[in-house]
Amino acid sequence: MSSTTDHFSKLPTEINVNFLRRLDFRSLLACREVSRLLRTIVDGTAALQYIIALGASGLRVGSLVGPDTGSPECMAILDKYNTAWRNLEWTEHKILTETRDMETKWHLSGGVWAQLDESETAIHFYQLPSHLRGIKERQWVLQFDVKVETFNMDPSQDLLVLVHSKPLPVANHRFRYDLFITLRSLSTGDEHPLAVEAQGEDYHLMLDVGKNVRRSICPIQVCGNNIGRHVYDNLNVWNWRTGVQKLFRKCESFVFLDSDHVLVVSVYGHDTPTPSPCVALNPR
Amino acid sequence: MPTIVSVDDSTVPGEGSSRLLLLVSSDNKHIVVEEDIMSRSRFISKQVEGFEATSQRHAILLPFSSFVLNKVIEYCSHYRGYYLLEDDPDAAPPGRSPVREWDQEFLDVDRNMLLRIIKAAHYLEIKSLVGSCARAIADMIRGKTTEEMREILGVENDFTPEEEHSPSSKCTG
Repeated sequence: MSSTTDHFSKLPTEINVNFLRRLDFRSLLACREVSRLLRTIVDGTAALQYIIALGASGLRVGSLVGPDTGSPECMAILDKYNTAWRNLEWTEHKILTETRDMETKWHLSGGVWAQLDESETAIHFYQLPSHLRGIKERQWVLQFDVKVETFNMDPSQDLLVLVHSKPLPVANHRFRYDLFITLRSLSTGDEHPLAVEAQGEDYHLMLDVGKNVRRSICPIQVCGNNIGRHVYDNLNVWNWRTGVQKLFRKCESFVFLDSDHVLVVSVYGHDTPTPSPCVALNPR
Repeated sequence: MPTIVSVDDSTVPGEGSSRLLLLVSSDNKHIVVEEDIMSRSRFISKQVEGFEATSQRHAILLPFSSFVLNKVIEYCSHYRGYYLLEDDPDAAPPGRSPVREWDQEFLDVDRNMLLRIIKAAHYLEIKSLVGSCARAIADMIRGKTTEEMREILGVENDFTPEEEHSPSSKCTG
């Protein structure tokens, strides 16, 4: 009679390596603790050690140039990458904002620098080059037919979040600003193929004439599948691929901790019970 | 007199079909299958080359059960004549569902069966099937805790208490 344990321990090492190399570094480290056999394989296989070494540097297989075999050659490239970060060794030096002043909105995320220009209808992009990661320098401009209030982006998902508004005069010298959010492809400016059509409910803001509060309107953040937007004390978080709302709450400010958690800043009176500032978006 | 077990209708030889192979499983079931279905297996291909060289064809004995063998033949029949790139599971054979999708359903079996299939695929040198099984195993344990992994893989904790939490020797910082 063969026990279940036998089935697994009798697998040829190549098979074990074949499924282990498909795991992320955290799962690999957990695998090391499963049994002596698995620890021996994880510790003794260069390609698996390479995955763990990459993970320890915040990288994944394919992040760096060269083969992913764990050969001395790719270990040397990883070492060079880590040394460059540790010593902050620049490989290039370039001034990006000669003509456009820093007053205008800008973002630096995922190795891409983006800045809204004075016309507020065009965003200039600059992809920072990296020789070790095999990323080429690239510059491009996206022109829009609306005035961009604010924007944010996630280059890893080719995602650009645009917020634009339409002012409509209403009674008593007041304006109504309708805010619209559209999700574009960062590289082409076209509609993002993975985004659902309606992105968060459109907002109607009543603003007094002459008050220049537009600049501070609607801070917006992206994290994985979630977009968070803070307008007039209200935080709205939704999944941009499904359109499902994840959170709606009054707060002063917010930040994504990871794709599942938001930290919210709220002001409470002495006698009111204060809920946890960390909100899980996908409670188990 | 050996029992001849036909795999399914598609393997019944018709006019102009390829030559037949006789495979014998560890439980002594005799399975007749068309040669070109099994050409995905490097092991079988090498055996067939041997037949050509000596002009003698004989049964191929395999060290696993007919249950597992039939499963492997089902896989090979599905992808008959289709070039499979092991690292491109999203490709689709003409007029069929993508490889990843079909394989996932095909490999929706219990752990022991999955381990038997991967061992058989490894023995027969069917790289794409080994890859798909390995992907299925990786999917089962990815993101799990060590304890959960032991349960899923059916592995006993054989560490001494001192060994259990020793840090990775090669990977520090």
